[in-house]
Amino acid sequence: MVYSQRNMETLARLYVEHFTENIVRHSDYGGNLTVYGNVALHEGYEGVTDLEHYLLFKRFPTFVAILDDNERFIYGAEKLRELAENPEIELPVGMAREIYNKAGERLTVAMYRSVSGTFWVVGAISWSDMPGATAMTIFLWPVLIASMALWSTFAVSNLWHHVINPIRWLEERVSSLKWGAEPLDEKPLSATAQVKKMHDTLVRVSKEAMKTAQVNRTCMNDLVNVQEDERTKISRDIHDGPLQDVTALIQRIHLARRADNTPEETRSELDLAEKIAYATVKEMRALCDFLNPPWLELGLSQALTELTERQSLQYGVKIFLGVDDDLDMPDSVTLAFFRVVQEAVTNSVRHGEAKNIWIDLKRNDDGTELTIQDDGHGFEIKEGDTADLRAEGHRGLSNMEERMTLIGGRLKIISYLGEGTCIRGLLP
Amino acid sequence: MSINLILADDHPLTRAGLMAYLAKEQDFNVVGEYSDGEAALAGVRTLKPQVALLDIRMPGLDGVSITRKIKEEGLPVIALMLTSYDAQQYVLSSLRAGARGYVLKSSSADTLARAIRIVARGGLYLDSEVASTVEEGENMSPEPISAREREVLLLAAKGLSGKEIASQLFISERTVQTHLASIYDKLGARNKTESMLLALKYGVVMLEELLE
Repeated sequence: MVYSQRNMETLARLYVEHFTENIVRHSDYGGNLTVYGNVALHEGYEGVTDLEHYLLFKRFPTFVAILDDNERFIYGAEKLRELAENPEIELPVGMAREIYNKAGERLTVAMYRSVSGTFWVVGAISWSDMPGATAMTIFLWPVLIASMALWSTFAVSNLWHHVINPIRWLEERVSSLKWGAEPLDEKPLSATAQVKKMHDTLVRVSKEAMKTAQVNRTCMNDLVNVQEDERTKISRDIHDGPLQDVTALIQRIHLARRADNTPEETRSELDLAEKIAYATVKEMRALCDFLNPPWLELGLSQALTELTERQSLQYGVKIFLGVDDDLDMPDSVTLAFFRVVQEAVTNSVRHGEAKNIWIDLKRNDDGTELTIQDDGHGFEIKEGDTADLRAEGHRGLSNMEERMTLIGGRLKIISYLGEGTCIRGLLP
Repeated sequence: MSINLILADDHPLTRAGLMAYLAKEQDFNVVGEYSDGEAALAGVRTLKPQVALLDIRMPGLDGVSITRKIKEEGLPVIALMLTSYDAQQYVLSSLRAGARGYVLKSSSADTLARAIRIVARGGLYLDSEVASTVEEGENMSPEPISAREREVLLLAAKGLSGKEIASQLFISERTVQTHLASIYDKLGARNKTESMLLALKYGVVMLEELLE
């Protein structure tokens, strides 16, 4: 930078030296010089020199002045008069040099004696008037560099405080965060909009993770509860059914074995024991059917026929079943439809006190559609909202919904008080 | 002298079997037969039978609750529990409620009759399947337990932990464990509940002491 400024100075000096010398050469016709206004007369020379034309050819930003042989100002630029009349300033002869005037303006000045030796020509250029960005740049360069340095420092510190630090803080918090157990701190960050946005997003994601974890816990809880409920029910069924039957059977065997029995008494006890044994078998078969109906293997159409006939007998309701015969489904789908029907009929009877239930299972353009309509009481339900019912411990409806979702289908429950209930399951 | 009885059991087949058992005994007089707890309690209050055979699990009011009511109301009725379960905790809760005995429904007619006679005489009957012991164990007396061991057993019976027993008797917890191990060994028990039941059965401790 300093180097280029020096270059510029050298250039300015050469320029000033050159044009001043040039003026001297062209304006000296020998003899004494007399100046009248802006006209100069040379002794022994017929012509007049238009000083304005010669000296002040307005070639901006050059300044020219003529001094007499005592170096007193005769004619020329006011800027140079000031210099010439300042006793503290010694104008450089023959070689250009930088001089500051009173106003602090920087000038490159050179003075040459005329060939005749009767006057001096002073030439100068002003650095502040220098055309183009070059000179300015030369001056402004340090300022520019300094301000650039300042600005960079400012930018780096800004970057540090508003981008890097917040991101580092985020990174630390995010990597040590117990996802699902705690949310990300919501304290407002002093950071750029983008980082703030990222923070907001992460806060949202962390809250979502908590919600998901909560749902998972609820689901696990439900799963365990359902399992325990089922076990309790099965245990009670076995206790109240087969266990009592077999106990009664043992009692009859004890009674048949009594030493003081008559042969008729023994035979009668054994007959009773046999009857109880048959009843036990029947009871256990019913339990097996309930737990996992073997007739599911017969295919959906027959399984549903078997199920609805049994339910119709068991609950004393009329069930009208319409199933397409050629429905060939994977076992998981068969089981899902089977359980939905089983649950729906049970609900219709238990909660709706329905007398008639119409069940249709058809394949159409949208997929396989199951419709279960009853003439029961119906109930109030918000569209697609089984979560509330689930929260109240009524898992039936949401269980049906989940069964359908698990096989890739969906379930819709439409019910109004006094208008029966319609359950529609669709498997695309 | 005949014994007045009532029978409460919600399962018709086992109730019929038990009725057939009781019918074989000349000195038993069944004055009431019930299939649920509420009716059984009403029968107990009005008929005041000498012995009430109560199924532990019944719809409405269960056998243990009826037993508790008998005790609370000071009725002159002895409760003998009937059940399909052989869980020792049931035995303890029945005894705490005031039952004088416990018979499994799958027992023989003779066992049931013996149990009824024992409790009617004021004795305590615990089914052998519940407190595992050989049949002839009734008359067998176990190796006598020391006074200290008896103290430990009674405190354990009240539900105190080893630590609590230790601090109450001013002995170390380790000593408590040693005493308990010795008690189990002498009575032939495998755990705390069984040792209490066997101690009751052998007359090492009295039911009243255990229930204090």
